[in-house]
Amino acid sequence: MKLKFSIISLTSCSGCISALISLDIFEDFLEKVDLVYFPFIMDEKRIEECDVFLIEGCVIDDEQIKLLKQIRRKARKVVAFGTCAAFGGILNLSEDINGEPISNYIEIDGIIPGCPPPLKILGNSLINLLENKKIVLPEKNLCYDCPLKENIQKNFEISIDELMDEGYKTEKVIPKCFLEKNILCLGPITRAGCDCSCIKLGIPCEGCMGPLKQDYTSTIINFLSLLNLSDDLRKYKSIFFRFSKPNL
Amino acid sequence: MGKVIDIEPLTRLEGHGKLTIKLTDDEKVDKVMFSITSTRFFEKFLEGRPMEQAPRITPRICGICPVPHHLASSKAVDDAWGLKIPKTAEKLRRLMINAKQISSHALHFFALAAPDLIFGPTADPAIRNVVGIIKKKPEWGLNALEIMKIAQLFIKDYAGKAIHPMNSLPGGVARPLPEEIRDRYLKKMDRLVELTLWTVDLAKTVVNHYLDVIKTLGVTELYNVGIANNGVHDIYDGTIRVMDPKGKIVEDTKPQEYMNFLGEYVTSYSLATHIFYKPVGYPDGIWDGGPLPMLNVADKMKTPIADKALKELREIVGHPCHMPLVNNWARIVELVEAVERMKELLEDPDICDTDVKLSDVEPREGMGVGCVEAPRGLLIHNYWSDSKGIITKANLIVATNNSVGGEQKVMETLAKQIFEEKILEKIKIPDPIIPT
Repeated sequence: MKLKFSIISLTSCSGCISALISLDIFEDFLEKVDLVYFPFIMDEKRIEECDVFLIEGCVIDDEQIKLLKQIRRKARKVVAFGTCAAFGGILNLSEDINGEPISNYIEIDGIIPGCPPPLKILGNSLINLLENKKIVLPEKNLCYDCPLKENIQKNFEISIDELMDEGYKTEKVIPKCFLEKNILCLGPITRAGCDCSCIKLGIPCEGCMGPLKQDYTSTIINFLSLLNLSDDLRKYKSIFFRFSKPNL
Repeated sequence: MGKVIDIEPLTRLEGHGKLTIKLTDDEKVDKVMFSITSTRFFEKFLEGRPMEQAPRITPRICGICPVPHHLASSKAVDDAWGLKIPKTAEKLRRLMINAKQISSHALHFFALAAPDLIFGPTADPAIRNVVGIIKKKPEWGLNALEIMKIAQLFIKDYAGKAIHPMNSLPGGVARPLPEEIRDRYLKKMDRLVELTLWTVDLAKTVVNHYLDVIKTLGVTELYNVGIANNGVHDIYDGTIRVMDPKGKIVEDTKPQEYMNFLGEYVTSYSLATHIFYKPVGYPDGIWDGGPLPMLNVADKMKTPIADKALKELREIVGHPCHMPLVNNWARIVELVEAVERMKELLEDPDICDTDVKLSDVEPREGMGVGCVEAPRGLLIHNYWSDSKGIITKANLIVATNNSVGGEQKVMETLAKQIFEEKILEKIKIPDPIIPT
């Protein structure tokens, strides 16, 4: 028996499902599953019983909460697909509305983080799901994979007065830890697995993979205690919440 | 009380939508409401943020067309801060937007539109989708996926990520194109051209098969909007052109002046505003954007095979063309141009030049407009910054806004055709191209 899969988008950009369709194993995935609900490409409008429900996007209204509860009743496993569903995502920048993770309303059976999930993480997670296993994710922070970690000095006081590397102004990016260059980098509080694609372009981590722990509050407090933020930066709204907000 | 028909969710759509049709007791169309049911708050939460971050925040508006947002945003910051980017940086941005055009148009054609045309509109919905195409006609499905993947992977390899790339910055791009990546993708270009020409033939077969249906269903004369560069089709840069319903170009203006002729109307039923041509007013001036309007406002295509394809299209459906179903063919004409442009740009002797960003970018007070053509219509980003370069206001007119008013009008036409004129009983729907 093939596993029955359903895929839905809540408040989102459809980037995660777009990543799924561009995945190199997408054809194999289609071969191995019975796709029963996926309104982005299919006309079926009813939500039926299924084995795995992938949910993209964050929650912003009551209709979506009702829908989530309906999904939970119908699906054997519910997976938060992408950083919006797992942690609220980009809407965390908003002060007017709460973009919430789906786990605030229903129990979930796993997350596939990323904005969108890196192809390797997405591919491996789908394989885990197909084999009826738990999704296995990297359990280290981004610094472990960072190409700039070699030059880091262990004991230093971190003053932060820039959000962007001078690299966007100058010719060459200096291969040195952003934090040491007084530039905010969210690598220390962000899950590894993205292949450091921003850092390799000279852009500090903005945290799109989300935090390692659902309890982001303690992580962020620890991180903040290490930093002396400049007055200018203190004024910017929610610089640490680019993709996930602590529950305060 | 007449009948009310609700279609929700609308499927095979980027984003969230709902269609409501209210009929009177005697089956006349009383009201049609095409609503966009999702809102995203980006304009508001950009306020208070450093403007150089906008190009990495705004792609999250749309994961199907992140590159156009990335670039419209970069161009808006360039404009606000008076930055003239190096020539190679512009070429690299063009390379990115054309690669994205390829993957988005291929996705739209094969996954969203083609299933109805290939299996026929009355086929079983369980099969009438891209999964059905892959199962029933594997070589077609695999070709489609191959087109998408070559283009997506190019963006990933060059710009860091295929979806939500971060390579474009105020003053240029972060990274020059490594020769190794250029060479790798140059090798794939002949295959991509071959796949694209096959797609053109498939699109022509489909159009000829359904020509009577296409010439009848939903035909609505509207204003059209798009970008042209000295009259030539261009998705990265140019003037905003507005065409009146009879085909006359009534506006050919720098994007910076969009406020003078672009009006925004808030409907009672949709979260997306309708855009209209201000001198004419609402609703008569409602305009439509997207592939067919882009072709309608252009004098010609930029590349030879695409221009030939445009001429063929015009011979069969005329110019201006107001048949909404021709958008699918127009999309393929644009796909051809994007593939030819991608090849030309990769062959450009300066494309691997390392002078790709300005070294003297300073945040300052300013107002800037960035305008590109996204796969589903005109896209405008407009930001204001204070003396520290912090965004004080943002105005985003996205592709959905520029086409949803037109789509509303087309739905009204279709509802009247279907319920009042009983057109589905009168026109002959041809046998499916592939029987299910």
